[in-house]
Amino acid sequence: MPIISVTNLRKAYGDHVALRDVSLEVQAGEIVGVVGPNGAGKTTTVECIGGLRRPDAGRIEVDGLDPATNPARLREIVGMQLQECRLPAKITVTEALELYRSFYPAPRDADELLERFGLGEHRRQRFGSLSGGQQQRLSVALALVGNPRIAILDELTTGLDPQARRDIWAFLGELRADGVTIVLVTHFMEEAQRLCDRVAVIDDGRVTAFDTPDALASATDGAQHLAFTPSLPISDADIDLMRALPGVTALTRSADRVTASGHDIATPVLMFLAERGITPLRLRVESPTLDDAYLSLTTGAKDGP
Amino acid sequence: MTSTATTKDAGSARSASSATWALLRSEARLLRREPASVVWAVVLPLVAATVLANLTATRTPSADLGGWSFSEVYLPTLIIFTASLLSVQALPVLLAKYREDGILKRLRTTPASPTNLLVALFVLMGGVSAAVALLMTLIPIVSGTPFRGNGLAFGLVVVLTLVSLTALGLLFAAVSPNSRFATGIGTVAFFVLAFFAGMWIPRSLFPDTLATVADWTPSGAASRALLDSMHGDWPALQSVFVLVLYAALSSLVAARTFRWE
Repeated sequence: MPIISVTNLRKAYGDHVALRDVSLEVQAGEIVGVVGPNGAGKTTTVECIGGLRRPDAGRIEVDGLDPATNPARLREIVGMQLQECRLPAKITVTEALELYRSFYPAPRDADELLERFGLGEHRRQRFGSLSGGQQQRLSVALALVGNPRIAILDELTTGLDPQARRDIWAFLGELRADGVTIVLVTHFMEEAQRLCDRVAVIDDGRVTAFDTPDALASATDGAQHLAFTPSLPISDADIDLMRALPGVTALTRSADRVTASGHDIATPVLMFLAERGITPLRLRVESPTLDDAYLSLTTGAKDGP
Repeated sequence: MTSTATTKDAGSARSASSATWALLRSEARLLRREPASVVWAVVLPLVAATVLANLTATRTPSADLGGWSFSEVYLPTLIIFTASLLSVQALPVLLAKYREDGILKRLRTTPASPTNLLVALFVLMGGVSAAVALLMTLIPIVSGTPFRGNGLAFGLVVVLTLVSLTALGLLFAAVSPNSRFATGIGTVAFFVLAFFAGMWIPRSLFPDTLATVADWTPSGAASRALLDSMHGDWPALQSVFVLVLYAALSSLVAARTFRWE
């Protein structure tokens, strides 16, 4: 029984069709990532789920509720972090957290959240004087202060330094252990790969893929890339032979570096070198990642550089 | 079923009022931290009222002003000055800024609604204006000029004026696409309202045509009604009608056009 189910969602703003046909199911306790190019419809999708927008067609159920009717119960179980939400400049960290705490029937402990998000030392500081990263962390804390069963986080780590990003990831991991369902809109494939049980790729108003990060990465024809510096010069004839090895789709030699691409090419290439007594120096092997999957699943790649 | 539904409604009603209260306290604290608006809207008119009530020249009744002192005829103007500054200038700018910053939208995702924030700001701005109006009315009395008018009528007109001007402020907030626009429209509206309230020319010196036009503006109607009640009369029906009309029309249009984002 999914806790969030979205069926054939359609939404247009005037002439611009933001969502053509979006269907998604999120199981309770799952972390689901939503990725896609700018303007693909990620934010519109999660804002429909959160009841901020009313879809033109399609069905949404969140824990058995229809968000479009704006039920009070939905507000209590869903915590949302929005893109580009700024608090009043003169409100302090504690005041903001206590204000939002007062809206919920069973909120989380404010001190615990402050410590967790590294804001303990800044509790008396005003929002306007916080750094961008601190503001972002406060905004995530506010989304979770109501002790939600479902957290919808739209670009939660944008603008954070790598350490702060990792701290938030660690906390989301703990939330999952508490059974909180998380929907994460993100631009960072690393974030999706690391945190998400499943990732939905949205492109041009449609879900083009929805699977585990590993399945997405291996399902695409993302190539393996190999690069090395041979310990001995390789003859032109050998280069041609290597190009003919099984799986190799491209192989180039420039100055002292040889690079090859293809499917599962590491073993044949390395064995070929070993037979000739050549050692591959400074060897790099890159497997297909969610990044490759993302690029092959979105139109951005076709128009992109 | 009925009993659970009732409990649930009671619960959400309770949380709505507690959210409004929490937002009111928060907004009051934020307003205190905005020294500029507090000085202009609160301190300045109070200082002016104190000075006028204590200078011989302005506290002495004058034949030119129909037997009233300058301090007395200027009281309605000062009350309207504060109310206009807070409700048609500060309020729309604040709301437009909150909308721009996504705060109204953010509140929609919580059990509190942005309507709670509107109510809180309405109460806050109205409350500050009412408190300043009361103090300004008391200042001449303390300085030895007794209030000679119809106190009940005066109080009711002050409340009606605050409602009317705040509704106008909500209308400006509703039609402003951003805070820069709200600042512009609020500033122009403030000067127009202050003018018709007799800020620069006392109302009793208005030429007939100007007085007729002024009577159809909210601040002109308010200052006329306040002066009438200071004279011990009940305000003219037209003044009350104009204030109610502005309040009703502004709230209606504001409610229909207000956007949370």
